Amino acid sequence: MHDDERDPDVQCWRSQLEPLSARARGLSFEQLGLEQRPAPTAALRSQINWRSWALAACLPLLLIGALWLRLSWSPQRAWTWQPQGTSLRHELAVGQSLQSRLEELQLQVARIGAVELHADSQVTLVHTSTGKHRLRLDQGQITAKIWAPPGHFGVLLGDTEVIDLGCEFDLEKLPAGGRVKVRSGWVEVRGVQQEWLVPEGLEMRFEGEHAYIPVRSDANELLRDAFAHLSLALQHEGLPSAEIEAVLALVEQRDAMSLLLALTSYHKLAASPWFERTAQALDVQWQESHRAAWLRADQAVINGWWQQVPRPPKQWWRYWRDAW
Amino acid sequence: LNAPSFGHSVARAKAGEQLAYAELYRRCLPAVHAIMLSRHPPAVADELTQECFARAFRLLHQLRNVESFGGWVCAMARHMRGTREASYVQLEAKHSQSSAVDPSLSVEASEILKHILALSENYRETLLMHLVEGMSGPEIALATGLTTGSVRVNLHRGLQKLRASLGLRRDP
Repeated sequence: MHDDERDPDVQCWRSQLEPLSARARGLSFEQLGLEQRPAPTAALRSQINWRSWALAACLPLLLIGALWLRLSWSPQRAWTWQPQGTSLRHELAVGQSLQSRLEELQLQVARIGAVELHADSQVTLVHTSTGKHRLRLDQGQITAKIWAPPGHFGVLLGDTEVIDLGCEFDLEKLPAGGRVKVRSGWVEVRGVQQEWLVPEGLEMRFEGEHAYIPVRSDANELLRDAFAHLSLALQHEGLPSAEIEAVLALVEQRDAMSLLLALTSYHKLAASPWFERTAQALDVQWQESHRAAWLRADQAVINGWWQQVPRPPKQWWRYWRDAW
Repeated sequence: LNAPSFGHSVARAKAGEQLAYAELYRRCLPAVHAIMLSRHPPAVADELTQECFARAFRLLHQLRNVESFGGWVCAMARHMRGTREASYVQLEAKHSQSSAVDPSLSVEASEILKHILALSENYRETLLMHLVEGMSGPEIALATGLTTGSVRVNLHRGLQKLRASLGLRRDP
């Protein structure tokens, strides 16, 4: 392969460097002490593989079992509560109320989450069973953190029902009505007249039968007032052009959800510049036929626009961090 | 390394046969030791060589392509440095009198070794396999997984560079 076998330089270098070779330095297989660390035998490897497969096969069953255990609950079983920072647990049965004074209380919602009762607040346990747990907020404010399929947990407040869709939210009882603020996931607000979906980062006020358009939790007073005036004006016949213009002058790209929610509840807004602004905020490729479709409540077109929403509602499992 | 491919020995070793381990060790020891010498002082190279084989035999069941044992163990040898940095430093301090070369080596040999170690990795490894471990070109190719052509080029250019570095001219 190489003619350096006759090369005197190579022969000289080889003889001089030979003391460095593995052979000259006495390296041997026996020094390895391989007996102490034998390679896995075929039988052992087979056993390891079998165990890995068995574990992989059992994992989905374990997860399903854990989820079933989390969601199942007997109607006769009471919830438990405890003052914040203590370990002493008390029970709360259906029909009983729980009131906090100066301290906050922690209420376990079956096995699906927890409700934090803020100071000077009161709730009543209305119903509990697998798949349906309902509280009533009589006074004050609560923070609910739930990880369960949509509809398992809800809070009644007057004529309004705030339904958890797998999320974390604050609910406050106001002198007239209430306000829900969504920290993660989505909630559904069911009133007498309408149903609203409220996503993470938005809050919504409601008074009796009337619901205000949800707005960003960090929106300034000017934008809140503009949305509130529009919400009231939309109760009447016709398009409130002045109120629409006032809102459109203030909204930003990040108000896309407020725009879409309003358009979904008040289809008549499609006849105004609200339609173009919503499409722009959602980055929807729209056609003029879409406007007519919105005005006649064509669900196919409406669903197409809703598919532009980054985190659609009812994918409750995405908010798995709320499980703890 | 001119012997049959590695597949048969690896299969026997996987079945737990000690003689097969010994055979794999004997066939790949020069190449692995040369790779270690190209990166570490001799005392460290000896220790890391043994550690490399112990690790390779421990992980042998993970080797899918049994024919590639030589290239696989050489690649493992090249990556041993990162995992042994701390003990390398300790050992180097311990052997500070002979950090780059062995004290038993002649002055001339030490000088040659220093010039080889100054070459780039490809030439350094190939020259150490050839000049220190006495491996032929085909043996180097089989052990490292390189083609015989690449080994021939590396050897030829490596020797040229070594001569130039030492200020020697090859007689025609």
